[in-house]
Amino acid sequence: MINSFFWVDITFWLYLASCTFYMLYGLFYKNETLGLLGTVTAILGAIINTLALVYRAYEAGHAPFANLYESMLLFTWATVIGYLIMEFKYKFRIIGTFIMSIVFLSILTIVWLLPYRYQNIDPLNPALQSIWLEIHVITTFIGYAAFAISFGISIMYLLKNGVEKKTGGGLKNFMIRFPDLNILDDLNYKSIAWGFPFLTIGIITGAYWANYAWGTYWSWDPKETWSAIVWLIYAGYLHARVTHGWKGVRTAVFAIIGFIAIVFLYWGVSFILPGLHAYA
Amino acid sequence: MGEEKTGKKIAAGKGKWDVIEDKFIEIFSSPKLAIFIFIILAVLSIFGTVIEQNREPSMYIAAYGEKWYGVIRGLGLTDIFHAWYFTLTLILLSVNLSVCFFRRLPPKWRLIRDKTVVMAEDAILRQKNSVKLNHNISIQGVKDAISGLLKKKGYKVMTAETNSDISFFAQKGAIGRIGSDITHVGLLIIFLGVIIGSFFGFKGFATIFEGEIKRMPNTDFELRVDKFWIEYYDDYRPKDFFSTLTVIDNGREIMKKTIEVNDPLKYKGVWFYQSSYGQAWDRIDKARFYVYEREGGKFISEAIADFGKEIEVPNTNLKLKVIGFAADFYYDPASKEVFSKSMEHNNPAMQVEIYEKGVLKSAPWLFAKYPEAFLDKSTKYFIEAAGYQAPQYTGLSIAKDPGVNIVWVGSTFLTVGLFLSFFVIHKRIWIKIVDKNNKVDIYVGGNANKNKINFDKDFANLVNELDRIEK
Ligand code: HEM
Repeated sequence: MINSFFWVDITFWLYLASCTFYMLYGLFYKNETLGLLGTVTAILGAIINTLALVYRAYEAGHAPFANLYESMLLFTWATVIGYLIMEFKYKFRIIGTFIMSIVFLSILTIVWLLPYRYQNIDPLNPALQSIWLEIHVITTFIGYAAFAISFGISIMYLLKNGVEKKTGGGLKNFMIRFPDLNILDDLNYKSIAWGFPFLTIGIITGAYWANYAWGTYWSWDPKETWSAIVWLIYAGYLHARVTHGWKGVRTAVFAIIGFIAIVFLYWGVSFILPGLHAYA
Repeated sequence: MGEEKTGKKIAAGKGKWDVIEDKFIEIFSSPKLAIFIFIILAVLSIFGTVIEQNREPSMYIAAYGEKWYGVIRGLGLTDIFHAWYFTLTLILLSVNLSVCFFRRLPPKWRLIRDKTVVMAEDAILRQKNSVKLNHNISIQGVKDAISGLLKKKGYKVMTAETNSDISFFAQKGAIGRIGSDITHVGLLIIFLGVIIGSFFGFKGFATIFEGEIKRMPNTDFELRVDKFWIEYYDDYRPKDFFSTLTVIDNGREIMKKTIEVNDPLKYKGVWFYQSSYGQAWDRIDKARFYVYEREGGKFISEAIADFGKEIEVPNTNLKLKVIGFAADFYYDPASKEVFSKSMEHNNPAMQVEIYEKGVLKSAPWLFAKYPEAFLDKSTKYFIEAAGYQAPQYTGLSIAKDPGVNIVWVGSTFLTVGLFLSFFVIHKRIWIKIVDKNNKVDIYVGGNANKNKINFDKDFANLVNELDRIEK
């Protein structure tokens, strides 16, 4: 029977394929076809990922963002689409090697690591039945996706920077395809320039919804607090960059720290710290 | 350096206070301080998530021990988001934002308003992107073409002409420059809303039974619950719960609304939220009893009693009357009173008057969970409290926050500012064409405040198109 789990499985294999093609493309850099295959499988993956979300919504009878499993599917979806837009605009396929690895690891965690009970469709608890939930989750996850992309780009920056220092620019390995350092740096800023407004809208709509649901727009529960911490980290990034001219290694490290904080916000808070947002 | 500073002081002819004021402004207009404040806020917030907030002392003592609890509490870590130093940091942030805003806006405003059309050739060539072209064409021949080209690209174009040259100034997206300021002001507005809310708002909670009328805390009106009900999913998990409420102000019914989770009632600036429900802790509607022979334990019969009503127990000469109930039984030795320790049904007990042949024999408390704890020996029967139905109450959260709309206005500013700041880029281009006897030199220069790689492309395109004008 075809259900959302079936589409999630297909998505999984497509992302694995895409990730593999992009890696081979990085290693055998004379072969453009491999890169093209990476892109094509990523596009197919995004389409099937969409189907998985639609099926899930249909089965559950509500927008498919009610638990960790569903929101991870949203995360992979937003990240792949964000990346593909970037690829079409800037034509640096090699970045796909890193972004699709993040995407593949994400879907791996929910398909293989997440205990089965987290994959179930849950009925929505009463407070979650609101259009604001949907706006809140979608904007937040567009933000997360943009930050994930900036994370991947920052790692590329640090790798390329490290190797360039050592070998004085004579790159023999697959980094030859990496964009110039200043382009990587600029793309890093651009991803954060997308992530920050969306994270901000996510936080605000979350507050609006909380106010509507229980009369307090901010109650310092761990999830809210961690979202504020993440927000402050990226605000720090922007100010360091714009007002102090921080660039390159330092901002790359900043973006990496920011994304680690997001992973904690997303997984750590749900499993380690107590709070209202136990579902996602 | 040092001399310069003293020189400035003397030149300004200011006293000591002004120097301090300068220093103050210097510190507080610095974005360095902002980053420092971000770090402090982030670190304090991390403490606030690692240490659970506003829990009962016993929980902390269990987790950290008596001594550390003292330390943690003394440092305000159990309610860190309301600790004085947290508030102080937020105040510093607001001061920082305000000073920064007033210091930086005027020069920026001047830059936005600046419409220097005529620029010297070498100044044009000193722009971030610049180029010099020459064409075999008359000066009037290119004028309209250039203007049209820039306008087609969405620039606002201004020109100035002399006998021998024409200057163009084209710009777009100037408003993007103040995006960050709108964001900063938005944040200040949010803080204002938060402050107003914390001074003039309140939060409360009320429980009301169906049919009951109750004056709401901190208000001058009453609410009546006409109906309360719960909807379930197929697996009996609650899906949603509802209360039909009537507002009664000055004895008059003003309005009626059925609220549910996510859909509150608003009246006189006070919001009532469906937040919980539960069973009464101090009364019941019905009780069910099993009656046995005390010796031997033979089951005799079952009886169901309405609260406060005498009923007969079949096959006996007993009558029972329920006169009291406590959901979480507690006996206070000092006042000799019984009451419910909490709203939870942890240890439900009911007080029953037992009549035998019309004579009151005793009035024991019967414990639903511990039927044999206190045996009543006034008759030859053993009476077990086997069950009960308590009326349900609806739990309403009550909130009044006159600052909340200000918070939303601030949030809108903040968000709009972000989009302006990141996606509206101020691009400026200066072009000067200089007549060289039926030939022209064209000087082109420009810059963008952001997204420079993109502007490089734009500029290259523009130059390409300018190059093609004559052909
Ligand atoms: C949580 C608080 C704050 C947030 C969310 C915030 C947000 C922003 C944003 C989004 C930008 C634009 C960055 C970019 O263009 O990439 C910016 C720029 C800037 N911010 Fe803040 N800011 C905050 C606090 C402050 C404070 C306290 C100061 C005080 C000095 C400050 C000073 C500046 C300055 C000088 C700029 C430079 C860019 C410009 O002038 O356009 N910010 N801020």
